[in-house]
Amino acid sequence: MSVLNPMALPAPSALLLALLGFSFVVHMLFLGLLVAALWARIGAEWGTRDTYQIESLHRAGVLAFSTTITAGVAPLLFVQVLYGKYFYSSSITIGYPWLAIVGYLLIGFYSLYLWRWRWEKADGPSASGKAFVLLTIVMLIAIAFTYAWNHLQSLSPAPWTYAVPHPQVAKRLIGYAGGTAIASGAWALWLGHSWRSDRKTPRGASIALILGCLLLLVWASLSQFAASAWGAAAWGMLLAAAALAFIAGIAGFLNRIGLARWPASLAALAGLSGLMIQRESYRLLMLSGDYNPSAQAVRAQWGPFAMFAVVLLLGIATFIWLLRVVRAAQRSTTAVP
Amino acid sequence: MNYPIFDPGPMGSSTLIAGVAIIHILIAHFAVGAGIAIPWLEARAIRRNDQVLAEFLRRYSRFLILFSFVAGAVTGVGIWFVIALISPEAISLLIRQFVWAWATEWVFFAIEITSGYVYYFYWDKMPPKTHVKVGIVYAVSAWLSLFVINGILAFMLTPGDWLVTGSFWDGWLNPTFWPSLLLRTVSALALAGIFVAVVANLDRHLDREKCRHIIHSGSVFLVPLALMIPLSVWFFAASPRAAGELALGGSVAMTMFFGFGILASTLVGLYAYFGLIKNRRSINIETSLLLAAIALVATGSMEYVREGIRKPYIVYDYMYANGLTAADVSRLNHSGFFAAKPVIARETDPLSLSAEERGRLIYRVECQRCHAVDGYNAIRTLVNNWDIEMIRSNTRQLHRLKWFMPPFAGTEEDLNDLVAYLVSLRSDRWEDKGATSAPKESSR
Repeated sequence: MSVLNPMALPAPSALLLALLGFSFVVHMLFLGLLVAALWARIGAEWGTRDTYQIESLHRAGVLAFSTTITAGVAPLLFVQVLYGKYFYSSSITIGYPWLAIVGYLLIGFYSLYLWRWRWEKADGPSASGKAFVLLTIVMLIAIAFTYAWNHLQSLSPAPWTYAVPHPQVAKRLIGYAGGTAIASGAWALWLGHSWRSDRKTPRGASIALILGCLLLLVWASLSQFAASAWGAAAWGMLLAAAALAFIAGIAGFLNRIGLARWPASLAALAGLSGLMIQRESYRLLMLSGDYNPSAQAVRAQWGPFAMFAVVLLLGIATFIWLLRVVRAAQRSTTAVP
Repeated sequence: MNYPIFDPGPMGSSTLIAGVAIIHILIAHFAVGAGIAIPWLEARAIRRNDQVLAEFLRRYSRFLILFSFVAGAVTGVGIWFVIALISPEAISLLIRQFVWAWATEWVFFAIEITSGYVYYFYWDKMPPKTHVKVGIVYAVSAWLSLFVINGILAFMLTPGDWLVTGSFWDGWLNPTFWPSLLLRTVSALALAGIFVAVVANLDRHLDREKCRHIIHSGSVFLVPLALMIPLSVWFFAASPRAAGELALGGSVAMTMFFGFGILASTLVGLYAYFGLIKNRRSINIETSLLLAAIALVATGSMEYVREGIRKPYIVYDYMYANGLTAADVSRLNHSGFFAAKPVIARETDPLSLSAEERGRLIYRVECQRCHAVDGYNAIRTLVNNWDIEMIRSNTRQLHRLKWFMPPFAGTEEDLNDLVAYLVSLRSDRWEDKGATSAPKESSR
């Protein structure tokens, strides 16, 4: 191998795949928080607004949007390292609709702030406030659709042969919706638990859990996991997630929020992990005739990896410190956390 | 050649990249500068019990959140997307070579975002010293994020020993790493100082005296602009000689942009020192917006110069602006454009195409990233007044004729095909220009 081989993988493919999978699950967890915050906003606009604390809701929403974008950068990075040839080709084939994601993000993100501004102005729900909530939701759906389109197109060794969205996009969206719904249900329970003095399950969370559970069951039984060696693992995790979500949903309807949030959280983790395993297995299967990451030349950069690992550990320590600071601040005030 | 080609239309690839990149760089630099300025000023406000400054900083940090956390983060993703569409070969190289640097930067960015929100949302809800500490975490992580990315950006101009060793560290800590980092830090601080003046003037809680006080406090961040000249000298001393010569007289456009950037930055720095700090003058909203506009144009100019002096390369001495490496050029010259099976021609048989159609495929791979057919840097305008021999001769020796052009890559037959396509673009037929022969159909 030549010394100058910049296209060699910078680490063994197994490590890169593990990082891709882990970061994708983290990204989807934050997406679940964002959707939970949106449901709470829907509740504030159309339902029992007295029980929601608007400032906390706003903070959760913008923080979730920000962290979802930030957490989404990491899997995007590892996808490019492992599957750049296909990812770039499918992005180019899609072209401007792919770039439109930037616009969707800007509109969706600023709509969160505009909703807060309208709430203050109107001192409560308003027609334009409802419009801003809906606008954010529409933008999120547009982003999910475009990502699913790109992802499916990048599963083909010749993505440029597709002039229109891949026929499987809708099916893939249902899968993502199932994972997001169940994660958002778990987050809604945690948010509701910290906000509601009566400690009863928010209705939206129960609906999310049941919906997520049903979607997962349908999706798990219809999807194509069986063709892969990893399929059994994905299938098992998805069934476990569905069962846990079902238990959490029942606990939610019985208003046992303290009990419901734990199986719901486990269900979210299991469901998203199953999604991730199934997703990557299917990708490897589809590309296997043309590309195999484990067969690529590797020029491992262990020194730079060590730098990343050390910074990551320091970063985790910083996050823990910041959480402690926030909790101390919340304890020291009687106002809204 | 391994990717399809994105056609952005008349605006051209360069305009699309520049549009997103300059906006993102401005916002990202502001985020770094303001991240350093705010906790520094807050610590000073606490030390001096300066309530006016402290209250202003809270509103200024809201501006930071709204401006940079939303638009900055999103355009950051946007610039990645745009480059991937236009230069997939280059981004692929940068990603694979520097994946751990990108990943490290991502950690710093995540800390920056989180600490920024904690800093803003919990302003009055924690002890002041703790609050300043959170601000310092934000400042350090934001600057370290710049530190990491700066290495990758500087690599594109000065890959240095990486060309020989292929080592991550040689590429990342390359010859222009430090001068580039300091130039960017100075620019970031200056943007923070200028936006203090803009936001203070727009702040309805401040009367004239309070506004003057705030602007005076923030103007200290403009003073480092006086370092722009020595830092630029250092930067060009570390750059490839040919690149430095372009900015220092070799290219009129580059020299003008560079001169404007340096002069404007230095003058703003001197104005800050003598006007705002020494004589404690105030500035109104119009003047502060004018300063902001000058700073934005100066930053954009310097980014333009940074991109421009790299030509004809996208990674100096390694990859040309059209994504071909020197090895690719050599291979195409030897075996021909279509022998390499470019992706955009994979589904077609070149033998079944006309010379003009083959030429269009060559144009798309080798020329389209910098030249739209019509619109930005239009190829039609360039060739419209050339006769066929001029087109052939100029294309054959592009890199000798114009310093910033990559060489034509392909055989004589490929050249004929490209010439046929370029001739077809002219609005008046080449026969009218007195040429004696049409481009020959190749004998493929």
